[in-house]
Amino acid sequence: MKTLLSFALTLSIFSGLFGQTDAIDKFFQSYQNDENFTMVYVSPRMFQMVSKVMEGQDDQEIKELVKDIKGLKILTTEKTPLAYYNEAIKKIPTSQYQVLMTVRDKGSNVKFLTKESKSDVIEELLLLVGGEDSFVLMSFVGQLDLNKIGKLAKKLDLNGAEFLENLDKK
Amino acid sequence: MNNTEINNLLNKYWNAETNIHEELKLKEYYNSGKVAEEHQDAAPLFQIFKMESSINASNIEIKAPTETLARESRVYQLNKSWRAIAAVFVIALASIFVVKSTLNTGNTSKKATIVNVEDPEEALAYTKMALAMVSKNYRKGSDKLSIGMENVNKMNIIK
Amino acid sequence: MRNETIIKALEGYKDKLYRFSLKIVGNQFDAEDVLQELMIKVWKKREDFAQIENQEAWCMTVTRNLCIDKIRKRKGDTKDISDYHTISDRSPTPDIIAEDKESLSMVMKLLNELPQNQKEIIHLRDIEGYTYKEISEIIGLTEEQVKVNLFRARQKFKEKIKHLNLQR
Repeated sequence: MKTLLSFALTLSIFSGLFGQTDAIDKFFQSYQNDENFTMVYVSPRMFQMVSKVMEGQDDQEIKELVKDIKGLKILTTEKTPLAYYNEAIKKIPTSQYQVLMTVRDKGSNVKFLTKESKSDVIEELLLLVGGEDSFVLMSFVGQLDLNKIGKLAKKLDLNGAEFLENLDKK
Repeated sequence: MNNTEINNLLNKYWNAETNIHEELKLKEYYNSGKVAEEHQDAAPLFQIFKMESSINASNIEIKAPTETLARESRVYQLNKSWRAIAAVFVIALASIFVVKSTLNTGNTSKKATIVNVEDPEEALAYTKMALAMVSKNYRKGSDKLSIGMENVNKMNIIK
Repeated sequence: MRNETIIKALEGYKDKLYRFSLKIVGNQFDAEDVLQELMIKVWKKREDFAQIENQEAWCMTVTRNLCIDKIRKRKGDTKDISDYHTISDRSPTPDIIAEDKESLSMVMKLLNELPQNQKEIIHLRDIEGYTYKEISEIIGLTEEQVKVNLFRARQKFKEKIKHLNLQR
């Protein structure tokens, strides 16, 4: 009962916090009763706290990006990833998103979808990855600058291992 | 220029018989703000020409792409290790989920495992990991779009 | 060829290259990408670049090829090229009054609906002011074909405008 309650509570928080992107929210919700899925939610409130944690550390590039992110949602599963990938492509309302990039590489499919405001600045970024091992859907809400993401790629090449160490400590 | 001249020019224009000089005259006329009523019909067309010709690439910097090339080649060299790193990222991601789901043993109903991140440090870790995936795939995509060194080498320069 | 010379040359026509690219690919992101790719191409070939008679036309041709490659790569995406926001989505400058807007968007629509060749030719001629010879060089048609296509495109406008006028 307690779990159910907290679950309901969490739900209501999510729907409130991510109200502005309800289309993709509905998509997430549609997998809530599927035990094969794992969802991660990082709320806007959490991002406010994150920016405090980041003060005095971390690279400028990462700071720059993180400060503009308002919400992060991750949906992932290891069961029949390609099937879920294709399902997701069909379910996501394409009228609201633009395909930024499609990559097919050694049996894995990657798609970037964006909801744009002006030029390079995007309001929401969706990343869909459907590989042999896992399906991942990520939704970043906020003002994301593609140029910054491009720059970050360079940084992360060097720092990737370090991130990993930090994660392993968890 | 009187109206008859403009009419003649317009007729020639529609028939693709105007030379560049005459077309310039027409553009000047339509941009002058003193367009006679009988010529108003074609005004939107010339307005669009004017608007489109004012688009500029001021945000694009022309520079020798040596810096870019150097960076791309390094990315390319790192590509292999990057793949390995990315794979471990996914494993790390999965292991966090496993920990979370075992903690959540009370949940026997058939629900997705929901992780509501409540710790800023953890939130940051997730975000970095997520961004790493994004930028990795973004880079991969950009490479495919032939910005990357790999493709530059293959480029058939003058067709 | 010295870097500064190339930079100066490219600076001279980057607006034209960008506009042409934008016209074909239909969105800023890809258009900017195309220009970056063009720069790489030019620098890879910088020794030969000096030998090119009409560098501007050459750059326009390469830009066009890069755009076409880009569109081809995009095929297979869930959305069609035409779904990308194009220049037509840009609202005209605010000083344009409302009644003008309607006829403007009609003409803009017509412009966007032209066959690819005609669209490019109208762009190169009416927006950039290239000669038939230059246009034929850039898009790889004969001067005669360029003329015929330009004629067809302009006749379409003439008809449409007459039609608009009758409706008033």
